[in-house]
Amino acid sequence: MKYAYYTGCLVPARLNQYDLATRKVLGKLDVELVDLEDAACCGTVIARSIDAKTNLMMSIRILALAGSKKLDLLVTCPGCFESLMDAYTVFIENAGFREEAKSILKDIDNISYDGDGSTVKHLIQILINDIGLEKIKAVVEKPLNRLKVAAHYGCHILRPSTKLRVDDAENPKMLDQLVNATGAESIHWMLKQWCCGFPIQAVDRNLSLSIAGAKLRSVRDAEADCIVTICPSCQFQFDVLQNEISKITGEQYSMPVILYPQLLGLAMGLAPEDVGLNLNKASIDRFLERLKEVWK
Amino acid sequence: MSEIVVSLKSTKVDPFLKQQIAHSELDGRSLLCTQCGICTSGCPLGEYIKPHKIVRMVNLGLRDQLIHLREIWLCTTCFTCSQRCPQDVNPANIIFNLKNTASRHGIIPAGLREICRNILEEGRTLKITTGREREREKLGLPKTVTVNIEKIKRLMDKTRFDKILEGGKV
Repeated sequence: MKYAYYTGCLVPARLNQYDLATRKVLGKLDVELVDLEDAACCGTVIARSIDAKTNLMMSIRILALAGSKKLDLLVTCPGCFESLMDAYTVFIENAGFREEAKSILKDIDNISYDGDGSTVKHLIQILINDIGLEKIKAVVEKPLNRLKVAAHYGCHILRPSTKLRVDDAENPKMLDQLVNATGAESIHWMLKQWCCGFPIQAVDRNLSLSIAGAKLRSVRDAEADCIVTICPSCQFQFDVLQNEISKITGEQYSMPVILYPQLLGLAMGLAPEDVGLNLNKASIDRFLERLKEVWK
Repeated sequence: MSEIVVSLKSTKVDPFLKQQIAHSELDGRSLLCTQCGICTSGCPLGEYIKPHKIVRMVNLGLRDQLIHLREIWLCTTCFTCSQRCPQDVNPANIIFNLKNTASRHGIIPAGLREICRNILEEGRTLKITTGREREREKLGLPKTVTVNIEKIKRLMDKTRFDKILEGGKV
């Protein structure tokens, strides 16, 4: 299996461990990745807030770049995923935008793009649909039995489901299945489906972090050992900013936050530094201690 | 946070606002709204934002009041409202649309404008520092892909993003 690979902005700027763990884990599953050269920001809801057409153009350009390589596109960021899916939908359904976009792509990149050549896939879709849970279970060498995980999807992988068509938006299963495939247990927690608050950080930082605080409390109350995310924004919010959230809410969470490919890598027998666990911020020592108990 | 107060007395009304929104790339069909409030009940910030009121204000044509509402910038874009609307109104897209209109009147929160300037200047929402590149090298990761910023600037020039961002009327 071979995919074009697009990391988006937040991963290379703040979360290299997501990139590292993704490459390590997919390498072990015989997946080849080709970095998508010249792929800039997708625009996401940031550019969309100012001008929707700019967001659509930035995203459709990335799809066109992948299309010209005739490779399906792996994205690890749900923000990018939603944006690319949105642009693709508008490109197919809105003839006016399609003609304008084709002319701009021809002019800037000399690409003739008709919507063909590449399908956008998020990491969890590749793991479940293209590789399969059975194959993943077969490569688990050090099962994470008794590890209680709060799975956190991120909004832009689920909603709106009519456009994204990934999982049941109100009762998603894919990440839970992937967590369970490592031997860990995906537990129920109250605010699982809520937004992490990240997108409004630039507008009202305190409000943004207080949403994350409510979620962290919910995870702590459910007695999870860690949160597992698949979204760089959620990861950044819960992990990197956990201390700041504690200051705002006056509560301590001591909650490790792990990216799914890191969790899978550990279960496959990779060392913590091989999946960049040393780059995670919140209570990683506590998590390493818990792993020792799990593997005893 | 101030409550949204809708006063129709001496208010300029734009009867075409709902049609304009329904026909943009950010389609949102406000006319189908029955004011059931499912959107607001599921909103993680329902204490501060009332999507059903915003949709009602669109149908009343209260453009001037809407573009000055701070609430529209507090939408986390979680799409719970659009997911659950029994009438497929798509309140999240309607809010995007209002933010686009506000931007064309020079109303953009400073923090958001700054991130958009990064996109214009770097082709990314955040700058990739030399420290991060060194970290990649240490981890055995390939260099971050290069971005031809001139191409991004040409794209932005075509959509007039730079002009909208700097508050000029477009």
